[in-house]
Amino acid sequence: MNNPKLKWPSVWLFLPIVLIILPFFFHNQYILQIANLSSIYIILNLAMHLMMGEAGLINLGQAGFYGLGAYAAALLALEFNLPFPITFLAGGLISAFVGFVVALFSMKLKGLYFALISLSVAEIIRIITLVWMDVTRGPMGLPGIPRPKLFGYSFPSNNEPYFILMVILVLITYLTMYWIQHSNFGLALNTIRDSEHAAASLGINVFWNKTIAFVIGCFFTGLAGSFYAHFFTYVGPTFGWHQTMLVLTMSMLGALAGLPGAVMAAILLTTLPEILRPLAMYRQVFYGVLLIVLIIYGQSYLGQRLKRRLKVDRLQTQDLQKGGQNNG
Amino acid sequence: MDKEPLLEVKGLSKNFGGLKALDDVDLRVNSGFVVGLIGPNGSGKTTFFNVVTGVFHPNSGNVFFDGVDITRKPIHQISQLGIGRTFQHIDLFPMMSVLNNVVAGMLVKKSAGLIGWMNASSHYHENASELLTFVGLDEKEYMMAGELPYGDQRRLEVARSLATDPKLLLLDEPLAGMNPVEIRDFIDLIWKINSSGISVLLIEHNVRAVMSCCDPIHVFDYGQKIAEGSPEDLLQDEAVIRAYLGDEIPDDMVEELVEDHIEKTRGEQIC
Amino acid sequence: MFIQQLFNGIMQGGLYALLAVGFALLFGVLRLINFSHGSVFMLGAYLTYIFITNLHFPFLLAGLISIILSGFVGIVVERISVAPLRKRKMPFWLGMITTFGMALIIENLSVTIFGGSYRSFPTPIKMVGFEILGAHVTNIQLLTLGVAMLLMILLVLFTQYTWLGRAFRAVSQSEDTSSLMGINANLIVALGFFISGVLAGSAGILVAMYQNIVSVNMGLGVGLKGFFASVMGGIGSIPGAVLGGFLLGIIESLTSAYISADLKNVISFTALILVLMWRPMGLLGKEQL
Repeated sequence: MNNPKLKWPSVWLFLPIVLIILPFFFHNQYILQIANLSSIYIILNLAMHLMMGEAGLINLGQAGFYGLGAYAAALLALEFNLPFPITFLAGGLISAFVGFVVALFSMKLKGLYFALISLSVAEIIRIITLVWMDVTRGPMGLPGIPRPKLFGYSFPSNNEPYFILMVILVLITYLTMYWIQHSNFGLALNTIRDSEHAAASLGINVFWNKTIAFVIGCFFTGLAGSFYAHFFTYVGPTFGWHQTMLVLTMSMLGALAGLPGAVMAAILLTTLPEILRPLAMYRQVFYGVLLIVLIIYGQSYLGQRLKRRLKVDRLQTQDLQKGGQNNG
Repeated sequence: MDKEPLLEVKGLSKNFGGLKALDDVDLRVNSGFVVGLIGPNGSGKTTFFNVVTGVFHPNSGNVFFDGVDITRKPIHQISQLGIGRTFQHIDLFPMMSVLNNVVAGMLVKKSAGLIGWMNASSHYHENASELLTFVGLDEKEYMMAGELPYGDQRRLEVARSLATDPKLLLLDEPLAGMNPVEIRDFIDLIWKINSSGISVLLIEHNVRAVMSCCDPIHVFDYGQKIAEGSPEDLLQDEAVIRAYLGDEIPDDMVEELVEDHIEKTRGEQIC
Repeated sequence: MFIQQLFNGIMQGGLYALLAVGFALLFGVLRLINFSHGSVFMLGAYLTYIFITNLHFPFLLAGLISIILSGFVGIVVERISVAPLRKRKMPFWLGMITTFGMALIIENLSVTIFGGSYRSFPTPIKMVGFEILGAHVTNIQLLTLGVAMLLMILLVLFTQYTWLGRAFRAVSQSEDTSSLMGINANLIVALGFFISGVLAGSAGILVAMYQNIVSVNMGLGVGLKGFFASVMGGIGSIPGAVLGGFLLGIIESLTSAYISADLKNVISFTALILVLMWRPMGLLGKEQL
């Protein structure tokens, strides 16, 4: 077996560093805006990767938890004047809590039914934000959300400080997901994904593992939502299933390809609309075509190759670290 | 040899719709034995495994394991109490490496609490390697489980179940599709497992193989247990012969089978 | 008042049932969730509109041609987004995504070709209202309900009693076995999409007639509702889909009247969640997935 170890770090470390530094070079507000939006989507994708790529959960309701986090952060900031760190975390925690409740009564059902319930929950959340005029101001949304304020430093409307904050957040999320992936918990999730039946026969508590993965996923989803709220300073009832099916399917594709794939898919998703601006009218059509092509042809080529190389590499490098045996 | 049985089943019945898959079954497995379970297709053998391991709930009856009533307990709890199993249609984790399949079996017993759960799974690679060597798969650790040839997949399933540190191992028709050499090797593996202190309950279609390594043997037919005994006893038992083997077996075959069996158990008192 | 709401619910329910039945057919055969169902629904209505207004076809002719075209669109959807998955033996839930891709394509192409505004849909006969049991009902409503019921009955008869129907069930049980028996599974699947498309298109025309409005956006939420009704009534089961559809219509109608029109979706989704928790296979469903 050849040793790809030497090739991996150079390629995979090089690219993210470039991507992180690039926006600073341009000093262009527009590019920074895209970079910030990409970062939010990266977190969404990473959360989806945990739920779907590792644990095998089909979560069609991510939009709902995203919106929930955004609205929670917005309301706490506007109504109760709570400081940024609290509203920010609250978005994640409230989403996680609601996710926990949903999981309690639906995680024991088979995958498809869980998918439908998650979709229904997301729709219910969206309708409530639309209809509960007293609290959410319905279609008018909540404007004027205060910008982040950390340790007395108030983030200006310039995008650069945001980006630094976002990069930190993305790194934390990525490291968390990486850690989970290589932990016993992550392995248990993988077994559940591959065969719930066999996993249970090995003593693994399928219900609780899936629930915890889902709650963690909802936490980061909500976190992304609360950052959205503070970044755009406005939230409206647009987190609907149709619009976010788009985000969702890109997430699913990212989920199938592994952690770096999730990141790439998110960046693609945010930059694509901008690149496709000239085709504005046909943009959605292009998405549709892209979806079909990627699903049908993408898995067989990209997915298998990437998966196999990543796994082989992971085992080999750990083995080399231990100084253990290895077959050439 | 009158200590409490490791596995005790009393009056177990299971219906599916109108079909009686199990009908008032009593069965005991004593600690340290390799016990066989044979019977024609549809006689309820796999259903029996499924009820014991918690996949199905029985309509009536009880299952006791190591003194504990495990009837209707959830699957993962029963596994944690010490029952491991393999499946009739292989149920590996095809997208995971051979090594990780075995590590998966160790997760529950070896990682204690929250800290253990968050530990890197690579810590168990050494133990998993040892198990793979035990079943004879040490050259293939880093292959994808789905790529293994059929016989090796069976071995991997066994290794994975052994990783859970079971007291009782349930094997569901592991010999299906194997050639005589593979069968011989697999039976040796079963003996090896038994020598290390694990009791085995083996469902098999291959009567000859079962007779060469199991004692006692239970016979199922139409959801009922119709006979139980040593291979020699069963070969004389008319009900068994009628149900399972069709005609009477010629005498010389009986002798061969009995000799086979004595050779296997010579010098290996397992009580 | 209650009777009125009940009637409205039944009328609406009949249309949901028709949609749900189209879903159930495909789900029963293929375990597939067809997200493009709503767009074919829209096409059925819009094409009829075009044929009548621009080409001056008589209503019945326009309707029939549109329905058949809808069936063919169904086949196109199958060829592009489902057949490649089946050929590569990929998991069925990926079909959700690819059919969603088709929906995006169809809907947005329609927006660019037809424009996004609401148009008023012509009616085949003059509207006459009358009273039944104290509720106000129009002949158009009765007509749509009647046609919907007729189509559903035809479908049930087809699947239960014809050779083709039995072939459908054979393929849904096991593709391999049925092909051994000489049934061309690919043909059956294509046929299933054709029939499902026909049903969707018909539902579109009926709804457009019922509401007097047609627009390229009418498929969006409706497809999902039809699917949910099918799930609630019993996934893969056609009688279940009928039951689910009517139930959904009645729940929505009563909720609009007695609680709040805005919350009707919340109540129906909650009803769906409750049903799934209690009986995941749906009210009339037989098997666990």
